[in-house]
Amino acid sequence: MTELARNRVARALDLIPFIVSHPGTSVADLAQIFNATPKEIAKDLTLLHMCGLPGYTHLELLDLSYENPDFVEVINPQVLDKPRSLSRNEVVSLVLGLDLLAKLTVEPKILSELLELRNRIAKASSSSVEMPIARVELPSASESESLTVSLIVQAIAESKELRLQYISGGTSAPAGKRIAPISLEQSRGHTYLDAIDLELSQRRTYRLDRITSIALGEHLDSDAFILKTSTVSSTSSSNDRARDTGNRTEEVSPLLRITPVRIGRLFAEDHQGIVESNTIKGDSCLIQLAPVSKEWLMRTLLSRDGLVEFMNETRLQTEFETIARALFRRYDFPTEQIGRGE
Amino acid sequence: MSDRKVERLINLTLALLASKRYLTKSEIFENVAGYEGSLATVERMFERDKDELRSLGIEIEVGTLDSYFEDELGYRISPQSYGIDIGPLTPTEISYLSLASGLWRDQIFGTSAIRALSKLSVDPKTAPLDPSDLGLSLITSNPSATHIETLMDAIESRTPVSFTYDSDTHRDRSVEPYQLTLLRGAWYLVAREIEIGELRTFKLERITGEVSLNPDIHTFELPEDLTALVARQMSFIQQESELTQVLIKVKKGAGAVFRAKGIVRECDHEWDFVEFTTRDLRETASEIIWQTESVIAQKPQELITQIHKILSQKIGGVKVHD
Repeated sequence: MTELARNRVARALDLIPFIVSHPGTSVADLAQIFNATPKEIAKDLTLLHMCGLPGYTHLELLDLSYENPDFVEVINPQVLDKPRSLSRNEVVSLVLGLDLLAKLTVEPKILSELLELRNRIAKASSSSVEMPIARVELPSASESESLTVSLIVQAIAESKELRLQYISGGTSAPAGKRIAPISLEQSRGHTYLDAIDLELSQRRTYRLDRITSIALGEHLDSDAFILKTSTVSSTSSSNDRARDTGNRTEEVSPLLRITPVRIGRLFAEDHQGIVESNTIKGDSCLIQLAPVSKEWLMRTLLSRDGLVEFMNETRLQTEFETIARALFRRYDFPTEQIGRGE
Repeated sequence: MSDRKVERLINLTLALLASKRYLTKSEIFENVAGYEGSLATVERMFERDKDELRSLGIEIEVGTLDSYFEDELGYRISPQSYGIDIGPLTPTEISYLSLASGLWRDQIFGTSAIRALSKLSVDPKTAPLDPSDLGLSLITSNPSATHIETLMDAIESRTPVSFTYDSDTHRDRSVEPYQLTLLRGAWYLVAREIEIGELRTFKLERITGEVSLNPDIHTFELPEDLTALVARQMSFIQQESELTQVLIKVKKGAGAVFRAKGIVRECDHEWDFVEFTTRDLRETASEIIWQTESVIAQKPQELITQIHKILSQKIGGVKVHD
C-alpha cells in the first residue's frame, strides 16, 4: 500500500534533527525509532538529499551521508536542525505520562526531576502548567496493595516468578499459584496482574486485592512465557475471569436482554472477550455471548445492576429467577418493596 | 508522483522557514522546486500543499509585504512556531521520557507518545532503563478517542459542548468543559452544567453519540480555583470520604474473599461472622450477591438496601412468598 505523502513529509522533517543529534545512527535503528521499514527510511534519505533551499546548488541542498547504511549523518541540515513542535496529543501523552511516573515515585529527587521535565515540555509547547486540559489521578491503594505492586514490578524487571496465595471468586480458600508476571493494568477501579500460570502454561488475570500473600521465586527463562495452546493467548481479563469460577462443567451461550442500555453497555465493555454481538434495541442491549460457564454467568448477572432476561431460554430464565428469589428470602425485605427496580 | 509531492512539500517548508520576510505566491512558484504547470495548476497545488502542512501542525503565517499595498499577501513559517526547544536532555531525562511514553496502551496517546519521542530526537535505546522493565501499563485503552479529541478542542477554545449522557436522571447535557481526568483507566470530564450552574463530573464512556461544540452559546473562562474544584469533584468519584464498617455472615469453609480482608469470629456450627471496612458499599453488595447462598449481609442497613435494589431487579416484579 502506498504510504500517505503527509506521513512521509512528517517523518522526513523529523529525521533530519534526529540524525543531527545522533550522528552515525544506522538505517535499521532509524527504522525502529520512526516505526518504519529500513526500505522506507532509505527512500526518505534519498529524497531528502534532493531537497533544499531555493537556488538548489550544492550549498543550498540538505547534505547527508547515507551510502553506508550503518552510519548515517547530516552534514548540512539547512534550517531543519531543531525538532518540530509537538502536537497537542503528543504533549498530553508525555506530560500525563510524566505526571503518572511522578505520582508513582516516592524518591524526592526523582520526583523533582520528573516535574521539572514535565513543566519544561509543557512550557515549550505553550501548554498551561497550572491549568492543563488533562490530568491523571492515581487511585488510593492500600499499604498491602502497594507492597504487592512493588514486588510485581521487581519480578517483571528481574524476570522472576511470583508465588501467590490467591482467592478466586468462587473458591472457599486461597490457592497457591506460580506465575510469570507480564504487566499491571487498571480497569473499573481495580488493578489486575496479567501473567502466565506456570502450572497450566496459560495466560491468566489476577485481581490484586485477592492476592493474600506474594513472594519472589526463581529466575525465569524465556520458555516460561510459551503458552500451551494458541487459543489461550487472549489478554482479555474478562475472559479469564469468566473461566475462573472453579466450576466449568456446564457452558451456555445465551442471548441476553439487559435494561437499561447503560448497564448493558457496561456489561459488554467489562466482558468484551465473551461478547459476540451487542445491539441496542429500545432501552435495552441485546447481547449474544460466546460459550461461558453457566455458574459464573448466573453469579455475575445476579450481582450487577439492571434487568436481565435470557431470550428464548426459559430454562435459564427460570433457574436465574429461582436463585434470585432464594437469595431474596434470606433477608427481611418487606414484601411490598419487591418489584422491578429503577 | 508521490515522491515529487513529498519533495515539493519539504522544499516549500524549507523555503518558508528560511525566509525572514513573507514570500508572495509568485515568488514561491518561481523559486520553490516542484511548482510546474499553468498558473491555475500551481495555484491549486499550493492551496493543497498549505492544507497538508497545516494538517501536520505546521503553522503557515499569512501577512502583507507592504503596509501600503495590503492586497499583496505573503507566506512564511516562523522558526518559533515550527520548532520546540526544551534544551539538551540528560540520559536520565531520556529515560523518564521513554518510561512516560511506554505507559500508554491506547491508540490515541500511545501513537502520539511514540511520535513525540522521535520528534524530540529521543532514542529509547540510549536510555538507562527500558520502558518494558517497569512492567506498568496503568493507562488502559479507552473507546472514547473521538470524544477526547473534541473535548480537548472545546477546553482549549473555551467552547461549551452538548452531548447525550446515559444516566437515570436526565440525558441531554450542555456544559462548559473544564478539564479531563484519567482515573483507574477511565476518562472523566469535569464541567459546569449550564442549566443548573453547578460543577459535574461525567464519565466519557457514558456519553452516547456525538459531542457537539456550541460556539454560538458563549465562550467562558476557567475558574481560578480549577485545581481545587477538580480535586473535590474527583474525590467524590473516588469515594474516599467514608469508610463503612460491614458485618456479614459467611458459611464455614466458604467466602475466602471476605475472610481475607476482615476479622473472623464464630457464629454457630454452620456460620462465621466476618467484620471488615469498605469504601464502596455498592461494590460490596455486588460481591456478597456473587457468593450466593454462602454469605448474608448483616450490617449496615445501607448495604442491605443496596442488595435489595440489585436483587429486586432480577425477579421480574413477582412477589416472593415464603
